[in-house]
Amino acid sequence: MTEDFVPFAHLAAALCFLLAVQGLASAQAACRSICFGVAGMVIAILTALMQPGIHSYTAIVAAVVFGGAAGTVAAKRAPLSTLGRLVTGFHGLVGLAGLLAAIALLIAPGAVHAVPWPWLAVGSGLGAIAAAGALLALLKRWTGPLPWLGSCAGWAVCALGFSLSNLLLVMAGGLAGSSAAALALAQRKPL
Amino acid sequence: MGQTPFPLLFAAFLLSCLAGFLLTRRASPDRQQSLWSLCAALSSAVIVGAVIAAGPARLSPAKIMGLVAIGLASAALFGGFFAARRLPEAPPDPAE
Repeated sequence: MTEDFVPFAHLAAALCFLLAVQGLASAQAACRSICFGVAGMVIAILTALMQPGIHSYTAIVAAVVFGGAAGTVAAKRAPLSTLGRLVTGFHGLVGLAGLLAAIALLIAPGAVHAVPWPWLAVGSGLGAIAAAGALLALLKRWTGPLPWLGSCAGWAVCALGFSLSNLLLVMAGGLAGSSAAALALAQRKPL
Repeated sequence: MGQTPFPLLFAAFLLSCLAGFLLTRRASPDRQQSLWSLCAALSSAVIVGAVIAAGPARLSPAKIMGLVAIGLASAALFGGFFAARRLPEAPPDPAE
């Protein structure tokens, strides 16, 4: 029964992400748009936890709480002038997470289902580019090519979604990747 | 788990790319920083893939890597959302 419910949950989450980007891109209240994003992510994570083959809830929740607390403290405490750099770091973290997840799925002994490795190779490559690029940007204080790195992290998520045949990952990754690419184009032109 | 056929996945991919590109292109400059931060939060959907890797009960290198990936992605997730809320008040980056 829960299997039938999954595509609808994925579509609902993707719609929430779309509304979040739309609200933030237009002049609407930023707070409400971000609420849409949070709602989408809650749906996505709950759906992922409900899949068959997921047993270690304690460890997963502990990882989410630990990482989430670190991210929240960093984003709330950082002075406003360094917040932009912090977000660059977050893009790098996502790239690193994509790299690790792709390798983990590759070496997992008989994972949930046989995962096609070319997509995973593409995903881990893009994740590595995003992570390395963010690190370089933070060390060398580049600003120019930064948005392109963020779009790399989005495309890595996309490749992971194709390898897992997961609609939500594909849509969220495509949305994030293309938004970052559009921001990169916008920044290249004088505003 | 929803085994969506590839053509449908690809169509969804193209549509979401188009939507993201068209929506963000028209964003006003003062919202760009916020959107940039939201992109980090949305990319953290990678956590869904990491959960699959970290799911099995038995401890293995793959599971540990999956759990680390979950931790990293959730840091970016929470941080991205909170930063997106704070960024509209931020002055434009003087480095640009």
